[in-house]
Amino acid sequence: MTKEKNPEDLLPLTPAMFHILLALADRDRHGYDIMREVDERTEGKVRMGPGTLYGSIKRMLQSGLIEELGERPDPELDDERRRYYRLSDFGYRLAVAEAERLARLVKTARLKKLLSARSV
Amino acid sequence: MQRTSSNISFRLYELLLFAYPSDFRRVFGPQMLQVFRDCYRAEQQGSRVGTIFRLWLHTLSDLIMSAAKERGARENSFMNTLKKDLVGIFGFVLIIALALFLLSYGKKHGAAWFFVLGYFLDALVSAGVVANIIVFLLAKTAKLNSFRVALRTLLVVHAALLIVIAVIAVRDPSPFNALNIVTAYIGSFLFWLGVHFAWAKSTQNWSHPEVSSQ
Repeated sequence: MTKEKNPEDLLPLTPAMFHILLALADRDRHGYDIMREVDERTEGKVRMGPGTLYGSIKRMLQSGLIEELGERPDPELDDERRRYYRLSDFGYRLAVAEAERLARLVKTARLKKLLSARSV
Repeated sequence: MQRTSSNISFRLYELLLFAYPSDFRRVFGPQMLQVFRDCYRAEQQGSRVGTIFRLWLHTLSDLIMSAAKERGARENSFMNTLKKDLVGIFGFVLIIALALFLLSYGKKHGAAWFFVLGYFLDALVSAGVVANIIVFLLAKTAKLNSFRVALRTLLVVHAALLIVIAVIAVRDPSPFNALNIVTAYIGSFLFWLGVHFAWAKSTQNWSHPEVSSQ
């Protein structure tokens, strides 16, 4: 019997990993697509290079947070050399746990009046 | 002209990928090169001045940081494996040394309790030394699952030693008690299998890939 992994044990995540989990939360993506999504979502504030991106992907694959897809979602429109990644069930639970942890922090920051009503 | 400069950039980045450990480069190198190409083409389409220069600056700083991290992770993983191997070897040597000590103590003092235990200790030492050396060498050289290797090797070595004893016993049956010997070898097999099972379980979570920022 294998022991179920607890997402709480891996918190807090590195910023790069959380951004990758967020990018994969709505759909499967390849490396460049993940990079572009993070860049657009953060308005250019977070720019991952190929080394950081694939270093994180390697660790996330090893930890079972993401899975590599055997097939490309749309082979007609895409380069066959690309590899697509998908969030695993455990990766999804970990992303939720990290989002909840950050939400609690933001709530504390509000209570301490560190955030104005306009921000967040 | 533009095509030549982009080809030079792609070739240069491909060469720079040698900064990463070979196993990392083998798996992710082609994808990293593809991502760099995509970024380069996207920057080329932009009208801002110096975008390619900024891309190179960003890529180089990322390469230095991430290559150092990957090399560091590889070093840690090597040290973890070395530590695990040394602890394992020490543990197995300790068990065999303890069994040898009890064996020589029992034989020297002719203790009553030694009669049955002696057979077991004999089997434990002789089969343990041969089987564990084979298991270690197979697990290291062939990179096989060490518990499965241990199970098969222990079975083969114990059976082989029993056959050797049986052949000797056929020629001169006087010093042998067949039941005690068979029981001792079954006991030794189960003991070593238990040790290998416990070892495999305890080292399963020895090293975790780093995902947390703690």
